[in-house]
Amino acid sequence: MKPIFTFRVCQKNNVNNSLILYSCLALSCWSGPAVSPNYSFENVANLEIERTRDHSSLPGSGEMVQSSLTHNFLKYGFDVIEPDIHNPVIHIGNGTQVLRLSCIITEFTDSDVIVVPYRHEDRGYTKTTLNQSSEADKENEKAESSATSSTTTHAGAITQGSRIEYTQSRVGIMLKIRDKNSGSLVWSNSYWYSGLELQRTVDICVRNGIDQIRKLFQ
Amino acid sequence: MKKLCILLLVGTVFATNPDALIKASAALKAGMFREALLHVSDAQKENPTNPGVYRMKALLLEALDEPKKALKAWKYCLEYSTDEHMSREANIHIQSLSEE
Repeated sequence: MKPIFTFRVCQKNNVNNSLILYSCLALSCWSGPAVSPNYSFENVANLEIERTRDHSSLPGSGEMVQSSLTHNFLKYGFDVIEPDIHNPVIHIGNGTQVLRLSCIITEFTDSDVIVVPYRHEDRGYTKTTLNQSSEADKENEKAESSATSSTTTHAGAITQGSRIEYTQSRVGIMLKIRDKNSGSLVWSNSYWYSGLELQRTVDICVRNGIDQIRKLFQ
Repeated sequence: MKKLCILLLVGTVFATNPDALIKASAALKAGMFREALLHVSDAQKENPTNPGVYRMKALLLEALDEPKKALKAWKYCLEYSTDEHMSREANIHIQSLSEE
């Protein structure tokens, strides 16, 4: 029993190690933003958000993303000033510089078809038939009974090539921050996310971007 | 002579459900994410190394606001995936969910 137990423990450890390894790979594959090394983000007063244009595939997508931008800044504790819906301003600090944030929607779909090929394995079954008979013998006043059983094993079969389909949302954005006075690009990165619900996908995609932007001002 | 024939199905050695993924897909399309998740879990037993099943499960768990379980499913998806695009998607989700 002990060796089997040890083997199982080893198997479990291997699975855990694999998960840790893949987590490390995941972190290493994450693309970081491009940041201007010479720009001083401590001296920023405001971040102005430019109007986000619609993606060609869906009118209204720009407004959805823009609303999500201000929503996420507010969620992270920034002061959001929105004199009109298309030109919101995020108050950052007491500095003198003003930055402008632009967002380009690179992908916006709620009907990305996902195909899942799968294998159906019929692992078979075992069927046992029991025949029972009884006979009364009047002369000997004895009763006889007999029983026979037969077992049939069905091997099963493997069917390959089946598949199902479903749709998911995919949203991609590119964020850029420029210095308002000089026009120089100081930060940029792109993001995309997938999900089953469009609104949620937009929100997480934008949140991932804002999460990196807020770290600039900490 | 009296004969009794009793037919006994002793048991199906392993229960199989060929429609699990089809049912999951139908439930997902109808927006019944909780029910779809139950069927995907059944399908996962039959296809324990199918990355597409883990991706579907992970997306459902995210929609159901269960980030920790979704993260685990994405890690399995990444582990079994041989498709570059799917691996990239899994990486992005793992990174995003790890930061939550």
